[in-house]
Amino acid sequence: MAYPREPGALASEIRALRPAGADAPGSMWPEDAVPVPDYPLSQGAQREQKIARFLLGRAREMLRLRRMRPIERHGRKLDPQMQLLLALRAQQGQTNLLLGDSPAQARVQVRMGTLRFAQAEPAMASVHEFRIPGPGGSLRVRHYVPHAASEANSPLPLMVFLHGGGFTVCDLDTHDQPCRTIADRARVQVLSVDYRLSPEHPYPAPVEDARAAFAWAAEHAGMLGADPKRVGVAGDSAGGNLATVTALMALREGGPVPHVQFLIYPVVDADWTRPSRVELSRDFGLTLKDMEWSTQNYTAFDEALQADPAVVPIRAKSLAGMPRAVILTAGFDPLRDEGNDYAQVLRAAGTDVLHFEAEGMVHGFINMASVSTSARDALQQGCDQLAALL
Amino acid sequence: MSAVIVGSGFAGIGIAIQLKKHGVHDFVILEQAGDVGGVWRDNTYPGCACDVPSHLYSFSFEFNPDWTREYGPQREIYAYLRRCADKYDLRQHIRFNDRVERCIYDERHASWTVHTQSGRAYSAQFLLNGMGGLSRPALPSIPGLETFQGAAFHSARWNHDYDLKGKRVAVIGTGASAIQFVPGIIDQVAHVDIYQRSAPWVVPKEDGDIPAYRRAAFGAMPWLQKAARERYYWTAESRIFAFVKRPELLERFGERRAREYLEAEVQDPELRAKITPDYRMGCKRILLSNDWYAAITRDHVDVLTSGISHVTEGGVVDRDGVERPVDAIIFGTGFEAQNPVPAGAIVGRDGKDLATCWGKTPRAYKGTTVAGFPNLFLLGGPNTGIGHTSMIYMLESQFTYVLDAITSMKERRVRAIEVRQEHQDAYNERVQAKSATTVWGQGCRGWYYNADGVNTALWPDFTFHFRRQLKEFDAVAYHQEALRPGEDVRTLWVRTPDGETEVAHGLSA
Repeated sequence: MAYPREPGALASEIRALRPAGADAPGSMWPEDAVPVPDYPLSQGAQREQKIARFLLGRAREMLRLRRMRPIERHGRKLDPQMQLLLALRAQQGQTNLLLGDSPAQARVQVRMGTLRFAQAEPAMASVHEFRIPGPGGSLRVRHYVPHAASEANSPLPLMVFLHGGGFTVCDLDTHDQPCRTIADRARVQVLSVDYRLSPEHPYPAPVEDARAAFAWAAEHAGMLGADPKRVGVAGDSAGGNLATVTALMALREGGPVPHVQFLIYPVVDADWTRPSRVELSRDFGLTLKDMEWSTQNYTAFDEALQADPAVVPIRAKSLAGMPRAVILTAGFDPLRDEGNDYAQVLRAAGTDVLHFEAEGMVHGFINMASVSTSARDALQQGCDQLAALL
Repeated sequence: MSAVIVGSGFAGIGIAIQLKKHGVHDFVILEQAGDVGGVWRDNTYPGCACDVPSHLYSFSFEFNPDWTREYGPQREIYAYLRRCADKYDLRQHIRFNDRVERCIYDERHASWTVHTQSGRAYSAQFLLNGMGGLSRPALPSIPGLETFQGAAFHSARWNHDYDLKGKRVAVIGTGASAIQFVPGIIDQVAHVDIYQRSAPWVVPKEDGDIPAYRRAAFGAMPWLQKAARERYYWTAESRIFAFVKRPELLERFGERRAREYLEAEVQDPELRAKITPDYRMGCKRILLSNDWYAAITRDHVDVLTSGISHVTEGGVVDRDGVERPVDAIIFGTGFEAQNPVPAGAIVGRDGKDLATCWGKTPRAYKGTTVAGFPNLFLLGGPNTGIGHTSMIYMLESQFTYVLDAITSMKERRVRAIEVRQEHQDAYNERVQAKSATTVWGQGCRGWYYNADGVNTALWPDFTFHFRRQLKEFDAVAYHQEALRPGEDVRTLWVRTPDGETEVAHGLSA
């Protein structure tokens, strides 16, 4: 829905949230910014969430009751909460993470599934939506300001967040809670971008949108009350790809380069023979079918694109000069090896990299934090590393 | 919160009572006629009655212990609705004799502006559409009808000034209305020609008087009436099992019973052949009657099945070229169920017209909300109809959903909601997939279906499944638009040629 413009409606409210001195001359809050209402949990969902939390809190006992053995691969132990979640999903016939009959149906399914237990937590000082210019029409963005903003002596960094979902599914709402966690824990502002999705908008539309959003953020960070010198990119899965590709393209083609990149189990390669892609391609959430479907939607397996660094950044001839990175991978994720490898490659190219593999986690764990404490802890550890690097 | 309610039938009166019970008084009800009652005000033909037991076909929050018959006659249902309107002081909210012409969504104020025939414009945050699918009479376009010199009227607009005594009458249609009014007029008229397109399945109506002692008991012990209502509900709901799960059972039990009844009532083999349906029972409305067959077997009744070619000044000519002189034509041709909203009547975001958007396939999310039409709630929308039990049950399920939506919006400072297109599509795919396996997915024609044979009218499942889905407002399926700090939602306003004024509690002129 478009919002009617009432210039300056929010300016005073936002100004109160900014640290002193951040209000540069001529800065102005986007005219059409509106607060974002949360989604109430239905009573049924509240009950289910209590049950899910109860069960997951006793995951080891539950697994023993179900006579399920701990799972170990290459010295890594699958977290019991993840194992139980996967078992519960399988019980409901959900064997793929993303895939649906059609992109539209998949979007509905994933949205309903992800938002079933999502809550507007942690609380923010403000959450607003507005539109910024984009190459294919205006882009909707959601801006998070954590409570830390009013305590800090200087403006907070700003992270442009690109959500995951195989370039095909998910939206601002599905990644609302991860964005809040990042903002709260890493003490940053977050600008989450509703980029265009494939297959309606295949490559390069999502990259163009991500780059446009970053360029806008780099230029307008001060206006948002953030530190213009510390504007970074972040993203999970497909969004991690868009984040690092944004950095790479900025480096190559000039213009502002992200201060830092926060990559959560990013897609960075198209090599289907990597051990994790082969060995973990089913039973651990993200499946081979999911990955093939996403690739089909995004690039239609175009051969030239499968070698293009704008799609597979790890194949770039040179990654010299890439911004500092925090890379968070998951031990039971088909994308584990390429993420781990990317950390090495970046380091070899001279980039400061903090890499942390959440050993027992599966792909998509940042969206499970509303029921799983171990998923929440893993995301928080990643955020702590980001805070350390900023 | 403020609302404009269109129509004062069961839907409009019901939601208005619920709004009041929840402390919302800021609403008007716009009614084109001079009284409440909807179809129960309009259908005054002889013999008009409900074909759902009245203890079920009434509000669960407003029991009536005084139904005199199992299947209440029209005048009792009409009186019931009038009593409801009086009891809850609804009449002061109603603007009678003012037809809604155009409802337009105003994005800037997140409100609906409703223009009426009298030149007024009401504006409020919500538009609650209680225009039922069976409110606009459907008239067939028959060549020569305009030249007809006798009386001609639709059963829902019965001409009580016209004395049928000793007249020759043509009845067009053999649906739920015709099978009630033909027995109602049969003793007065000289002759009736019944023009039938397809024969209805007819089963006996287990009707009867409710004796005074039972009425008194219901009055003294409401729990007893509640128990009776539950019994009616589950009896009706148990029938849907065959419709939904095992259509073949309808053949084995339902059709056999109906055929036995027909053969017992009708001896003439030629007539029997004409009035034996040639389609699976249940895919069109099953009709309940104890006097239809008795009426059409009378000597002064002809059942004609060749179709109508045209109408002359003094008679009706069938497809075989035979002209039959008549004094009056009565249309029992049903309603514009497939076009529940006239073109141009409801205009949503970006100037989108609801009737145009729908085309021949009306679609909504949970029968209630439509993508592109924020803050609009349809009461009795697409795929909420039922053929086996009380429509009031479906409406009350929607009332719960609507009230939860608007209270949750108020609590969370949301000024507008609009269902997401992809959620609406996914919902309808599920409904259609479900429909395909039921008796309504077997290629029938009729007012349940659009021109392509798609079921757009009926809920193809148990009604308690519908109720469960509408138990709580599921904001996740919606776009939400928040109020800005300091902003408040649109209160009820009326604009007359004299100027614009706020309406306190929907009460002033």
